[in-house]
Amino acid sequence: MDAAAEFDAFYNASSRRVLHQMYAMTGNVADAQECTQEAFARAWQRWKTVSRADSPEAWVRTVAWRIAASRWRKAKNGITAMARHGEPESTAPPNPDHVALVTALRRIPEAQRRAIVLHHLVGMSVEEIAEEVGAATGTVKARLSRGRAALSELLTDESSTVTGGNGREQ
Amino acid sequence: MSSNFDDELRRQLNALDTDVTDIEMPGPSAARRRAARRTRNQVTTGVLASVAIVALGVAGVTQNELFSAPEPAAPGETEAPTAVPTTPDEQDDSTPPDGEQTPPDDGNGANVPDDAFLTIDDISPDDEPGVVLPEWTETEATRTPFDCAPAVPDGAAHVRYENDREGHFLQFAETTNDQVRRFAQLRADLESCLRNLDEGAGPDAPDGLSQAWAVDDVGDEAWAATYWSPREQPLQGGDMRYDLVAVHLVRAGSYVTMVINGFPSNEDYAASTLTARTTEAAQRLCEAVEQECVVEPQPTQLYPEPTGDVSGWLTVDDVVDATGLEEIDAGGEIVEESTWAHAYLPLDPTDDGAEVVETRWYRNSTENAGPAVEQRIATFPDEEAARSHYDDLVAAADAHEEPNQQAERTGSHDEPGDSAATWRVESDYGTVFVFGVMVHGETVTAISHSISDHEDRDLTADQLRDLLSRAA
Repeated sequence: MDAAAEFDAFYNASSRRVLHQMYAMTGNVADAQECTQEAFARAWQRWKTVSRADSPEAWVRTVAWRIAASRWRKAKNGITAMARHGEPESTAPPNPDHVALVTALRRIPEAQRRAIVLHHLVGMSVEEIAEEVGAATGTVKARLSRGRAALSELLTDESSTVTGGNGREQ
Repeated sequence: MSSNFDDELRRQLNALDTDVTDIEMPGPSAARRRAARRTRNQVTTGVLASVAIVALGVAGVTQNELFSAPEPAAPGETEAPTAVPTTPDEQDDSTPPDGEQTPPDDGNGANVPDDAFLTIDDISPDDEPGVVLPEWTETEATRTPFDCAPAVPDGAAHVRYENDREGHFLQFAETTNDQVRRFAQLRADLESCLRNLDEGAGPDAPDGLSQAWAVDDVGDEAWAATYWSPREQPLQGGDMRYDLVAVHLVRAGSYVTMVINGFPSNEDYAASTLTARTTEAAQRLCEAVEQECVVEPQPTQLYPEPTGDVSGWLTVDDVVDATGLEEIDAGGEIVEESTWAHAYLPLDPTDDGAEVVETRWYRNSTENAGPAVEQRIATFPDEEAARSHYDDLVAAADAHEEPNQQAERTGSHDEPGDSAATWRVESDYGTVFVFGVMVHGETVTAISHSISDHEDRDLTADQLRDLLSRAA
């Protein structure tokens, strides 16, 4: 299989999964789509290296996260393209049933949100997350713990579906 | 929280998939086209640069006359601009540096956020009235013109700026699985190249390396240095023959970044300025990758090696205890001189038979500004020659006159083997200069200290006498 065919197979097998994970991390479908596609483009530019990585999908996910995080910071710094391109698209998720979860995720710190998604959606262990994000396992545990606590509180406040809508933490 | 919360959270996160089910991804071909467009832009830039260089050759104009620094096209950049790589990585070739540089085994710039780098705003000094600052612009080049400065390694992310005063800035960053070795490798490559540069330089050339510091509590490891890179075309009628190049190397987590910043200069940075930039580079990188890596920067001088206390000279503790100038924390190298070098000490000790005249400065190790004390010692063949010179020197100092500045004798003492005298000069401009001389055995010692008009401190005659007695 030549490199292009190998890359195409990788893309077709993993792009929707990464898109889903990036959506959970960013809370915005358009952002998730753009960051995922850009990450795959960068992967192709370095395919010789990426294809030999232990997990090319983790490589793409990490790059996509970095791209998203970089954009957030630029937006915070006032360097957003808003002035050139007008107001950004609505960040509301399309499925109303998921509004509470996505909104809550967006309200917790980036690092906690990333840890939550990697652990609870991707299914990674604390050690695997530590390796992917380049932090100590203790740091990851703390982020998970704080993230879960914050989400619980936020979702309780919103009478979220996560708590069964009864407003009580279970 | 119970495991029910975790289970429900997991279920809800998985259910988000339905929100993106109908979202169409552009596909792998679109990703490869996006990558190819980026490559074409890079290739076009390289080809245009090559064409410009050829045209200059035809016109009889050298590249240096037009560009402030040569930026040769990378080998891989001379292909046709329409070339689209059929396999990746073809565009990652970068020009090898002058100095031998060990390539990284697994360096990767893909994970480096765009905001991990210093910006033009960061490196531009603040506006000052009446001062025209250099104008920086971003460029596509992957190297600087300085000897021994590495080019951007394969796969590393980077920024590159240059200004209209022949200043050049390059920062690259990469992630690696063996960051400790990579950091050491980058530093060793540079140091090795500088040693070779020294060996190939003429006897009158300054040492390449000017200063080097380890900066603890900045990243996991930080190192900063300045060195002199010979210019191909000296400036200022030949007086400006070197570029001063500052290099900053920081390791934080799995990230390693290197900053190279140089410009024509005859003066080195203050260490505090140098290490502040190192700290700034680390801070920017760590903020971008969500780490906290700057605590309280602790610079440790690696080169020149601190001299420490030297027998026969004041110790740093002597200076601080006698003067109260707690900023002073280091004594410099002992340098051979031939005169007293003070207007108020107008006699030449070598004319009176001094065999050697040496000087040493005591000051803060990281600041060029701030209080400094100089000790200068002339050694004579015997006590009689030293005493004779001392007596003549004191008389000459008392008689010496400078326009609007008269030295006032502030004290003296005479004992059989040990005499001293002190003076104070206050100028019309508010500056103060205090100095004293002492004879002890076959040596005559002069100690001096200057105070600018804006400095809120003083050195009294008693403090100066204390210093002289300690010197004895």
